[in-house]
Amino acid sequence: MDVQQESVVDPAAAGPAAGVQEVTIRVTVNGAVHERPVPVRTSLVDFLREDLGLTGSHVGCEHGVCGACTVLLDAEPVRGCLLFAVQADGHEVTTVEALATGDELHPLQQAFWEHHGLQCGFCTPGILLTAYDLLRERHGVSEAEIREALSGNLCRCTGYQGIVRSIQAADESWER
Amino acid sequence: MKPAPFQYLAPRSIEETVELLREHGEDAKVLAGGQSLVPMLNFRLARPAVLIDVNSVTGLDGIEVEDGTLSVGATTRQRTLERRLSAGGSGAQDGGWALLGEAAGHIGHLHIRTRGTVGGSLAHADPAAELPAAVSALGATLVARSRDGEREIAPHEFFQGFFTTALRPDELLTRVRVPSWPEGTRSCLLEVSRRRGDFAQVAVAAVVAMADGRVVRAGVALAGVGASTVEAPDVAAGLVGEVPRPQLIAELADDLCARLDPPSDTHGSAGYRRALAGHLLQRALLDATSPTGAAAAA
Amino acid sequence: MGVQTVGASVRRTEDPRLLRGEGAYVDDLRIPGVLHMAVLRSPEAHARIRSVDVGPARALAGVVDAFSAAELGRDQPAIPALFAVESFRPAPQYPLAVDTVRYVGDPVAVVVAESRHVAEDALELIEVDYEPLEAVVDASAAIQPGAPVLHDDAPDNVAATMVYESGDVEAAFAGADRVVRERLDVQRYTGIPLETRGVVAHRDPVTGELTVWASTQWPHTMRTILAGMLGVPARAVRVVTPDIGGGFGVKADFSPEDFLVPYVAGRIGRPVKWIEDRNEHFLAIAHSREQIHEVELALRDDGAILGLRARHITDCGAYQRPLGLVNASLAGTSLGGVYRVPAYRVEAVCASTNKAPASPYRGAGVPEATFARERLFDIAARELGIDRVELRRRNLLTPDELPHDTGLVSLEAAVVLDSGDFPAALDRALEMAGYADFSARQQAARDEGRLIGLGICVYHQVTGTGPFEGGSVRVDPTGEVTITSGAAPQGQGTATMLAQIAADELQVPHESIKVVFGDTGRLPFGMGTYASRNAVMAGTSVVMAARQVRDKARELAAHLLEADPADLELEDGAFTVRGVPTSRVGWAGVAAAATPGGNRPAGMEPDLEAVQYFENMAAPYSYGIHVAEVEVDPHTGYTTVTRYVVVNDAGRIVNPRNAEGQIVGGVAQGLGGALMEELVYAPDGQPQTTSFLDYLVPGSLDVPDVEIAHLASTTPLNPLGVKGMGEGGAIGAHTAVANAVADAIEHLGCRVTRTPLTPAAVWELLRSATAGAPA
Repeated sequence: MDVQQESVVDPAAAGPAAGVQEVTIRVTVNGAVHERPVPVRTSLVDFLREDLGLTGSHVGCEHGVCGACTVLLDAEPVRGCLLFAVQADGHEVTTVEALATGDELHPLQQAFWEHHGLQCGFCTPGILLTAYDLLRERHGVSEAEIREALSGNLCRCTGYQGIVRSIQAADESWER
Repeated sequence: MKPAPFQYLAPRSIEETVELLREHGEDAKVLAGGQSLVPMLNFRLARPAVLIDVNSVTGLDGIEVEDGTLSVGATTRQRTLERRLSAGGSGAQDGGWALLGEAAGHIGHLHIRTRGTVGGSLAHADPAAELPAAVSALGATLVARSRDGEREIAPHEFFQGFFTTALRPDELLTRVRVPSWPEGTRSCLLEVSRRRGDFAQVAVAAVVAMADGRVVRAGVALAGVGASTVEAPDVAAGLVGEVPRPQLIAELADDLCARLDPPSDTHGSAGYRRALAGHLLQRALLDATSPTGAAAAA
Repeated sequence: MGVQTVGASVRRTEDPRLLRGEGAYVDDLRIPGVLHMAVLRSPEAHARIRSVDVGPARALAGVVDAFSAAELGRDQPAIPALFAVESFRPAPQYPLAVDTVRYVGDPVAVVVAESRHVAEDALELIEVDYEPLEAVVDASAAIQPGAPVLHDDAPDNVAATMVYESGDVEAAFAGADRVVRERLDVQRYTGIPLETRGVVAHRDPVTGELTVWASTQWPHTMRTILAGMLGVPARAVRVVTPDIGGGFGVKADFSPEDFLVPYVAGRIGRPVKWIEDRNEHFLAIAHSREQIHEVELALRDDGAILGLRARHITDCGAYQRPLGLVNASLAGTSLGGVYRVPAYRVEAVCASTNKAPASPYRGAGVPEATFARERLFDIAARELGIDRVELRRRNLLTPDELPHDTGLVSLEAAVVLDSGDFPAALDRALEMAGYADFSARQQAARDEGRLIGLGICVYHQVTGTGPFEGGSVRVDPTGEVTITSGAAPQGQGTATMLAQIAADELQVPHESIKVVFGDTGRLPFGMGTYASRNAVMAGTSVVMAARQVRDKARELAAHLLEADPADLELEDGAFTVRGVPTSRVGWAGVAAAATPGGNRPAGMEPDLEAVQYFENMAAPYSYGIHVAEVEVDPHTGYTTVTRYVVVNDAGRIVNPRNAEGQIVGGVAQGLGGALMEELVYAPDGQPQTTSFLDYLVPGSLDVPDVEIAHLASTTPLNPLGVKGMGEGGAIGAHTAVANAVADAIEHLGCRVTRTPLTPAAVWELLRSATAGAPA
């Protein structure tokens, strides 16, 4: 990023809120390129939700523990709350909204539907992306590996059993 | 939980970075993976005026072997370290270096390791963190750069206390260099956390090189038992030249634990941590000194 | 055959939207021009407020409003308590603290700004001068003479004392062969939904109506309380619940922010949003569970229970919220479980402390009482030298003793056990868990230096509490069916369940039915989703409404087909004259005829909609058995749950897979309570667990697979024969896991009397046992 091209309001002008540095970023989200200014203290997940209207990624803790904000950054799962939007400049972001194709659910989503892999659904987008990362390049994952992969995503409703079953089913059904 | 305002700078080179550090000094914080720093910003427990993001700095990442020494760049992701240096990974030829991969695998969860960096973990200097213990046990060297040049710092000098290192405000941790360990080296990292995947309550890192049934070189460090990573040179020295019998290991562990002064908090008393340290140290040393590693599995 | 979906594990109609990321939780609502509220919270556990200066905050660019209690006026409305017993002495919370703060997190001032970032910046500029007061954080200390006083109306810090008794307890204890007593403590922990709380409010400039979108479990109650506090008629407030990301009871509360957001939206005439952040959540969400039980069991030598006597102190925290007494009350009436207890006396004391206010969380006092009873039973069995299963079996009520009226009445309902087969459930669970050979396995493990244990918990729970729930069923002129319910579910699959129920009555595919929840503008009366009441209360109201619509449609169809209503069959979406398949009219045809001006019989009202309220105070009780097997690491104190069995009886089950999801999810929460979760306060009242780093909830590696079997003792208390079951998992698991840990280690000479059994806590128990053991 070119730090010279930013617009900075004078931080000393009127207390802490006035000094909102903005930087124009160019980021590819779910295949679409977005170029727009963001305040540098805006997290990636807030940017996706507020600026791009992609509210499928949820904010659950803002300290990197719960995993509800999980998105893929250059195809790897990261916490959307621990990254500033400005840091996604020049990178590719994938969110839950990219999984389904039109009316057709992704095989992972279908498996979660068939096997009761969700209840309130708040943690679900993050869990889907974690599972996507786990299964994308592998077949025949064990339950232990699934549980290990899921250990960075909290779910308070399901007790994880339905989620594990769903991922096992997707491992079978997802042609990849 | 939104961070206080800050100025954001994203230098491209190490030279540019150290210039910025010189300019902003203590007002600045280096942002690497951000997996510890950003939560602190969000809680407003940290409020630097300037964030210097080093993720785009060239020459700061990567894992290389130079003249038998492993060199890991500061912005190398923990997940990369884990993949490359774990048993079976492409960089795991050295029995000692595998400890780094093992330590990295214990850090947080997958999503944290994807983004978290080696340098970030070391410079954050959490006394309960695994990587500082691993580099201490391995006898690594931490390399710091400032406008004035480069200096090498030994772990016991680098880790100075609770979230405190020897880095000066104008210095950037650029890499960690890990010496080669002899053939026949085994390493082991064991930890107990309240819940799997969490920060260690106590972790033990041990590297032991054996020849003809005797220990020829050893390194031991512990996390979670003091204000900083705790190196155990006495334990290492007590092993060298000896046949590592369980009795000897137990005595060395007991000796060390008696001298530890671990913290007490809501997750466990000092006594508990001391007991964990003794137990884990024995198991780790038994594992690292047994040719099959059967001890740790038991 | 027709449509028959009740009893089938159909896929949830809720899921596709949620899976696509199209769920609309309160923070997802896009409201143009919305402003963000942030709350300044007390950093002191107990202090007098000398002054608050919001001036510097107001001056910050981007800030629209900022104020403290001083600006709300001296007579700002208090949050009402919904249950007042005779002994009740109010400990009301005002939306913003007046003069005194009583817990860390107590709201002191608010800021409204263009962004949440700026609002938080502005909070830092508010200057508050506190005069610290001594704090009290231990409930038993709080009610001792000389303790710091929280509320002048209750100088002994007792908000209420409730006594529940039946039979002659004194005589029972006087005639006992043996009395076993113990103090058993349950720690402070709570629901911690993944979605925090959130409120958005906007006043319609045309109608003046205040629309409030809230992540709440009881929109109608929220509407009533809010209208009362704002001093406006109920029609001036509309509360709507969007998708809710988990509730578990803690969102069936009314907290200061529930007032402050609508208030400030009205005050400044712009939409305002407040989304609780996780740090605030740990400080300010309803806490729960914390009770100290002193329990005594009078026994005959053969193990028969003669009497049960107890006193428990519930730590209610700093204020009495609407349901603040419920945990104490339900613990007071459920200590006896599903056992034969001829004499019973429980004194339930509600204590105020300088901690966050407490309110029900999944189980609401029952997990606490269940822990006290089932732990004590294990201790008693050991003291009597009787097998713990035998002790339970000897005292369990048998089917021929049901219905059994305990004579006890909680704030929620009378305790009348209407149906079930408790001994059969116990036998089934023990068989599934391999209890018969467990002691041999345990001995073999001990011989190898391993510690394994098996824990049993017999639990019951009140479900489907009254006084009513509302539901409407409507068929549009094009034939589409819409259910509007007073429920406000948070992930239970209630839309699917209600659609299944109506589908069978109306003979339409359940997937075609639209279900709308939680909107006070669509249904005048409703209660909400808590107390395991969706199937019982919402389900029954929908059955009633669907049947009324069906009966009217039958009349109308008979008119259209020129047949006798008694000759019509309803199957697969159409009324057909029996034996004349061509004489047929579908729902669209009937509903079109029902439109005003349509072809109806003389005297029939237009439209095809029924609104029904199921009014019922007789709550069904469900029950079950949990058996946990654990292994404890003798060196680290770390517990691994290795096996888990549940036998559950909730009467007829509408959707077994969803029901099992409730059980497994509840087990995870109970396991968390047994092993890891605790809201810790330092002696000075500073909270120590204010993030997910310190407050641990179970992750995917901590929870075992749960094996489940159902019994189905259909209740006579509602037409579906259903009992609720949303809380049983959490109730049973807390104690089954704790008893299993105890079983693994108590032979060494220690005694498990409190939870959570964290690795450090178990290690301390093991160490105390080793220290106390003869050398």
